[in-house]
Amino acid sequence: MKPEPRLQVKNLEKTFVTRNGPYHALENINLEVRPGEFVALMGHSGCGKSTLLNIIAGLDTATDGEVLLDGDPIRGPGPDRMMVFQNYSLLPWMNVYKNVLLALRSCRPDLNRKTQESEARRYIDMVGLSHAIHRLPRELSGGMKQRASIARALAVNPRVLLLDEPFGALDALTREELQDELLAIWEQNNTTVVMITHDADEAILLSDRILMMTNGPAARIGREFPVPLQRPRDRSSLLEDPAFYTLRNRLIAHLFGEEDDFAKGDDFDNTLFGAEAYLSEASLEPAPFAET
Amino acid sequence: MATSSSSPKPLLRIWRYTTQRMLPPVVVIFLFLLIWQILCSRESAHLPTPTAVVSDTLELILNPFYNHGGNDVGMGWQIWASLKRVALGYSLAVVVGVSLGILIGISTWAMRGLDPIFQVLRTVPPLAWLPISLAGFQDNNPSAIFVIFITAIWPILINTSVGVLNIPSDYQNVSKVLRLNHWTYFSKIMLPAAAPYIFTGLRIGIGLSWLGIVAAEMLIGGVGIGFFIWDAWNSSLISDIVLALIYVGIVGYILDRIVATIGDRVAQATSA
Repeated sequence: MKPEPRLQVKNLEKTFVTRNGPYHALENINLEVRPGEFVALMGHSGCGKSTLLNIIAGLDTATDGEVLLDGDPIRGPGPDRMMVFQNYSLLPWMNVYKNVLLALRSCRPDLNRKTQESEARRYIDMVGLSHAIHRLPRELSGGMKQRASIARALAVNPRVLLLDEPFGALDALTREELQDELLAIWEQNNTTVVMITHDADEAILLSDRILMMTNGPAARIGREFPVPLQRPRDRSSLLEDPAFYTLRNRLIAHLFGEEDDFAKGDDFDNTLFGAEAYLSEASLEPAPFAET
Repeated sequence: MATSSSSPKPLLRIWRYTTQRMLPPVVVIFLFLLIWQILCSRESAHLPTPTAVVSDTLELILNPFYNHGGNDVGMGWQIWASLKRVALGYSLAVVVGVSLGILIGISTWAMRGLDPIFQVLRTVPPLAWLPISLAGFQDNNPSAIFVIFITAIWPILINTSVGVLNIPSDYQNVSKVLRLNHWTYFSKIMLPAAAPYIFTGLRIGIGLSWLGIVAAEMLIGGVGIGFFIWDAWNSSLISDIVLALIYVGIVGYILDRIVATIGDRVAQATSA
């Protein structure tokens, strides 16, 4: 029997009301995430990935359709779907310890104060920040801030951990370091994760399944790529695995719109358009929206 | 050598500080007094020279805390009386201004209802409030305190509401996801996030309070630096007025610095 999905998104639609009339951002999104699964969500900038994640988090509302967590429809934001934001969102007037403890105090009333304090320390230790526990966010590097943010998210013991391009703002070395640590932590904790990323390598290294979104307007989940790599994984052995390169090439080809094996014919235009959007994004121009 | 230039000898440092920081204001003040002295030394001058000011007011300068009863008290007591009124009126303005500012910041309904009224009321000059408050309170002292209150409250109120409206959405999202209760949101997120704005308002407010008290006291009489100036004018003691203006300026400067220093500390503590 198939296990009950941890997270389900059913027939989700999102239309924004803008000055130029309604903008259909997300169309008929369906996805299921099993308990303990790590799912990566990829797609071009502006395709609606963050909107989808915000709707799952409850910070935004769907126009139609529903999001179920362990079979129950979600009601607003909550710590059971804890989010790690791209810009860390640590409170600048509190040190690392107090930032994490604030989350525990609010979201783990089942623990007594002493346990909350020891849990805060345990998670800070887990992300390797014990030496900086009493520092303020402005005294931390970008990587350290994101570690603190991850510690805060894990500390509330969420049923699904939502990561919105968690390492996008970091330099390459720090990013790899944090990816490796997130991988190790995830393999220990078995948390269910939905992560947005732009980075194909990151998606392959970390996730079990990669969902590729089509370009907006009316973005959908265009294709699904299972990641057929053994766990536990580590970066060095991955780089020697031909399966890694096969998948990586397919992902990149797909992002550049060279792969035309979509189920529906009209998706071909979307992917060609995707390449165009990708190139214009690289030259720092706003991605053109389809004239249709 | 790099080491000797980065940490010069203490004597050299004091010399540099003196020549670069202390010397310019001293020179400029000296020139200003000199010009004043020359201009007011003519027979036809209506205002006293600086030296005349000092000799006329020597007793007031040397003995700021004498008390001969009634209005006849030293400058220290005059300023103290004004400061007490400012302290009361300003404290009330802080409490009410911050509270109403938060209300406007969190409630669109309150903002739409109150904002038009406030925008009109805040343009009323401080002294225009004095007659109506005299009519209401039937007493000088509360009226003066009310004028301070109504003068100082607007910048505090408006800056507080702007601070609350500008709480970064990141922090709001964090508080939503963590489901912080109202008190925790207020104390751990709203107040620290709005604090730099609030202190901007507090600083403008304290300056306006001090402007307002001098004007208000001229009209209400009694002990206070404002009425001291008015009284000196009526007695043609122009040197006393000059001395009082210097005191008013210095006290106003100190008040501004106190609030600004606290505000800078708070802004530093809450900045990202």
